[in-house]
Amino acid sequence: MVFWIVAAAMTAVVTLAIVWPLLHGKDEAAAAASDHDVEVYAAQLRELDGDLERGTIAASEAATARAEIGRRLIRAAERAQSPAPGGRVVHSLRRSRTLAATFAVVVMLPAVAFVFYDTVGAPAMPDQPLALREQSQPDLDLASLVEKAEARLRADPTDGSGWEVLAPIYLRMNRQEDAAEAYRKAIEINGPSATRFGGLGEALTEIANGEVTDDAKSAFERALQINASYLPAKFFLALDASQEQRAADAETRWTELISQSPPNAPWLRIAEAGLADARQRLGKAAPATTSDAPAEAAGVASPDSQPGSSAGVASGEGGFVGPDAATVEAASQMSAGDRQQMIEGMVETLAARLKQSPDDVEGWKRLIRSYTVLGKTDEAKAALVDAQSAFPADSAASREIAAFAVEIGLSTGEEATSR
Amino acid sequence: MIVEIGHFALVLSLSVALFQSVLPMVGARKGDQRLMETGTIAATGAFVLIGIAFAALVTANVTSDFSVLNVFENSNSAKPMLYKVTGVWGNHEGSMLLWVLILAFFGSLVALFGRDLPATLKANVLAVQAWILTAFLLFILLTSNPFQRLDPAPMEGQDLNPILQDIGLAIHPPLLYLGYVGFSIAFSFAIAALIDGRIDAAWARWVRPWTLLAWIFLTLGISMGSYWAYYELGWGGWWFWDPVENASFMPWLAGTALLHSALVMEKRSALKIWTILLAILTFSLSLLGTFLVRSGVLTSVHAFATDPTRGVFILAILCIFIGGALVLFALRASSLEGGGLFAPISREGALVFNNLFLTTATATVLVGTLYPLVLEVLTGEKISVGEPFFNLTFGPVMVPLLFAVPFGPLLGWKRGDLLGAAQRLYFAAGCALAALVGILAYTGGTKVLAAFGFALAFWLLAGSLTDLFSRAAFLRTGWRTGLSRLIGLPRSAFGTALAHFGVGVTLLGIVSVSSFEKEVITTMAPGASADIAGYTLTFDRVEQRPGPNFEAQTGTFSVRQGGGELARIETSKRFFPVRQMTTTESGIWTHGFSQLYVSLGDPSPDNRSIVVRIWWKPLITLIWIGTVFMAVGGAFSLADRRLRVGAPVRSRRKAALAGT
Amino acid sequence: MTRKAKRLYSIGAMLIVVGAAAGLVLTALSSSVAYFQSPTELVKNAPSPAQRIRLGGLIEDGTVKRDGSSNVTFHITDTVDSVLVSYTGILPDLFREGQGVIAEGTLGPDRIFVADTVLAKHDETYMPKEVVDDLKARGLWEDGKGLVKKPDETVSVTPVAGAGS
Repeated sequence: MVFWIVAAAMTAVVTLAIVWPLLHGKDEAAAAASDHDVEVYAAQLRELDGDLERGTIAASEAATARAEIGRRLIRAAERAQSPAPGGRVVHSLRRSRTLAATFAVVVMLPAVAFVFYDTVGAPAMPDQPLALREQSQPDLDLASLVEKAEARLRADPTDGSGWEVLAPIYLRMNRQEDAAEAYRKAIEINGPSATRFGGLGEALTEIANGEVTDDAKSAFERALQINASYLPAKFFLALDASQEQRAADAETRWTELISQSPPNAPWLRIAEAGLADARQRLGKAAPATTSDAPAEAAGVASPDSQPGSSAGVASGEGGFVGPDAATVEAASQMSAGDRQQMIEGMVETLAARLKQSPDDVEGWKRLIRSYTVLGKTDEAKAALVDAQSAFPADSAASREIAAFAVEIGLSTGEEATSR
Repeated sequence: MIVEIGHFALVLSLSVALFQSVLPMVGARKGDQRLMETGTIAATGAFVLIGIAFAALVTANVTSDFSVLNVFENSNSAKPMLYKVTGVWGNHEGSMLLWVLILAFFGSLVALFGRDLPATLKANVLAVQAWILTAFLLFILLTSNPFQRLDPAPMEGQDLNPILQDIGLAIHPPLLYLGYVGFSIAFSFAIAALIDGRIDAAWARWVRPWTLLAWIFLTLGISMGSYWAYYELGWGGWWFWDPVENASFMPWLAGTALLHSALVMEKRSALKIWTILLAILTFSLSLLGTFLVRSGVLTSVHAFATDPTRGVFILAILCIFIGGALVLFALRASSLEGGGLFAPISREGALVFNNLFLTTATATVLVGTLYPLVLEVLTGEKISVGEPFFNLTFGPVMVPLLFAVPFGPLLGWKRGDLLGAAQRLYFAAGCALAALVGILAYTGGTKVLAAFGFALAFWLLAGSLTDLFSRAAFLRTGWRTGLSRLIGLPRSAFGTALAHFGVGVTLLGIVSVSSFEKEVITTMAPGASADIAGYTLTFDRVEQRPGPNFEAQTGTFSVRQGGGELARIETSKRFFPVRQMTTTESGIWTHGFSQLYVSLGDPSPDNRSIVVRIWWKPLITLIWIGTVFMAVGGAFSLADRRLRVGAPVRSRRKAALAGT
Repeated sequence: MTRKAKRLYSIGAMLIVVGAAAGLVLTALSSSVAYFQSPTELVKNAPSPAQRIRLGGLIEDGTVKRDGSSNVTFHITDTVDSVLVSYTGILPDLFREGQGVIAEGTLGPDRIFVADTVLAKHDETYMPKEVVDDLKARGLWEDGKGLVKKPDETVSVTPVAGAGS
């Protein structure tokens, strides 16, 4: 609509501008061209005099030139005095011509423009600068894509590849139950595969708020049976070992994962933190780490904190927000900055979820832990405060969180016990 | 919405141009002031509208709006911002839009500055301009619309052809188009005169500054293009007699002739009919240049549109305009009033000599460019006409002309004194002789041709300045008076001298490079050295460097002479992943007026060493510096108060009165 | 001198200049232009070593050999015949096996084509126009499809899609 208004305005302005002299122009006849010639020759004569004064032309040369221009001047002047051929145009004829021209411009100019534009233009099409599309498009696309896929699957639930496409999207959209269901259908119809079982395991893990349940564990194990080097499955199995405090098992699993991962794998930070935790639990020295954040994490959990103060706390260990296989795969191709962003993005999701439903002790512990691993101590402390305010001061949950904070070295024991 | 507004503005400008083609001309025939007035407003309006369209296309490119087909095909979000802007005219559609923008710009200039032109002449000129504008707007909208949309829009574009992602190519087309299109003014004036059946006294006075302006831009544009080809293609050549280069060179030659004949017409009212014909030919060659580049009829490094429908469309435009103009010329030329008489030995005679040789040279280039095309159409046989042909034809034609250049300004109008002129050129002749003997001695008599080339160059250099010095009369009046007399000379005298001097400078560069260039092609591994022209180049290292939208393999060379390191040269091959293309970034070290030029080739099979091509190009930069002299000379002439663009004839009367 | 005589003299002088130029052009056209030939034609015609030839075709797969210095040899083929080409210098950036190319030079007595210029257009989809026309004329090329392989051909060439036309 705005487009048509602008287009109409442009057309109107242009049409009026062209019509203007037709309606208001001087009616005098054009000066005869010969008059003009006289002026030009006179000007040439003056220039010649100027040149002579400055001495840029020789006197003899100037004389011949003056004679010649003079001759031309006289001829032009004669012509100018003789009456113009044809005589004056009848006034009424001129008026009707002007009217015809005005009418033609007012009607034809817009008509030609709009008809021609109608055949070549795309008036309804908005601009799509890349910056704008990058902001809005993906969400829109994803939602409509999912809707379309769901509609198709309702019509034909035996379309295995449809389920397969949909499953990771559900996972990304935080619809874990749907994701698990979709993976199950995909396995059922398309047969087992490492990615399908891995995805199912991930969905189950996320349903359990990051706890690798037995169902999830068996799914990951199936994935590994099919493809022994399927790293995401290994990651979650190692995570499971950490969560169940099978320290020795966790150590071997994390070590194996780290050694097999590409050097820029996005899960390395978490893996190294998990390994450090497991070693510490075994009483071994923290290993040399390749990135600074795990080093900090390892430092945070250094011997001067009180290891294993409560079994309940420990069960939350290593419960990070699990990246799904697709994201992990994508992340391995990302640049370092993007990868950091992805990890932080996952933490953000968790923080947002906790803001809505703060009644989740394990969730809070995971968030605090994640912040410390990322080296964001301030955020971790803020999260700690938020967590404690989420529960009644003397509740078991509050105590548990305080103890956890002490354990990871975020607050000192006195603070924790002086409540 | 911006894109579509631009699109609409373009369509609207076509509608405006249609009326501009008809109304002023009807007005001029009927002596109706009101109808003639519409031309002025329509011309300005068309320029504003096309300006809006162009701005919209620039916006779409800058914001990477890939819903525009043209942006999708030629841009990429990773492309540097500078090339997002300049990429607008780096492709066929956008460059055509720039072409009409400049055409409309010149039209509006005539409309605005032409207040003191005879009304009928102005009205006719604007109408003829509008014919050209209409034809090209139709061409754009029907065959190469830059606002074609894509739905759904792709997320990423295909990127601009990497060899076009260069600052040289960013400036080259606008300059070239300002030149090409500028000649359209001379063309419109010529057609208007033919339609009117009479040539006003103001005609030449008006045509000359426009031609001069166009010529300045074309000179710089060609020079820029030549330098771009020199450093970007990595072949070390500065002129390839490539059809597209010829396409811009022919209007330049014809335009140069036009400049000179318009001078005769202005001063002496002679050569009128010839000047009209030359104006038509010059713009026809500009159109032909556009045609040759756009249709892809001739294979060439530059042709970026290969589309037969476009070719047919432009062919039609060519036939209508060139054919129509020539028919009109044949019908009306005889009714035009002839000009004054002059002796063969006179300024006019010299300028006719100039015109004769320049048009002959243009003809040889034209034959060389079109002959393969015609032969293929007639016999099916395919040939290629290259440098040897032009060396054999264009060169000999130019030699007498260049020899005559210093004489021209020294001859008087109407009747000249050849002996007197020759006497004043003793000093220049001495310079030429010294150069001849010097080069012969230096080369031990092996390079006779080179020696004559140098002699001719020095003859031109000294000869072009002779006029200034003899008119200032330093020897007779002493330095002080001489200097004041020199400053008092009209600027057009400086313009002539500078432009002719520039020709000498360019010639010096050409002769020097073609006779004393040295070249080494060798394989080098890091650490290896090569000797050329007294310099030692050491290949220091080769490394990978990432660029914004390419990966560069960069080789670093250090230049030494007798131990001390003089400079480092970096040269690279850039790989553009989006287009899967490689470009060569030649490494150039400028030393004085000479250059060392290094380009990388392919690595050897074992990947340890790489083919390196090194040139020593003595005085090569003079080729382009000379063109700058020519352009500056043109600007001086343009600044001459008698030729100032748009300086109205009528207001000059007041100025003259105030001056006395 | 009368006015008429003057005019005659000047017209005569112009004719001499134009005539001389025309003579130059004709000489140059007969001596210094290069004729386009396909490998098949070159093998059949065997032109004299003085004649400049533009040899156009495709670079045969697996034939590009560099001798360690800047000398390169390769075969140019039109899928029927192929010619060994020797070239010293830097090849264009888009010189690739299977790509269209034009080599300009002369055929030596040893049947090796010695090229002094090798052109491959600066465009990934480029096929030199002469090459496409030639292949088309012999039914080896179709618009929009590229090279059409003949069933009986022995030379294998990678088709270059969507080029030319």
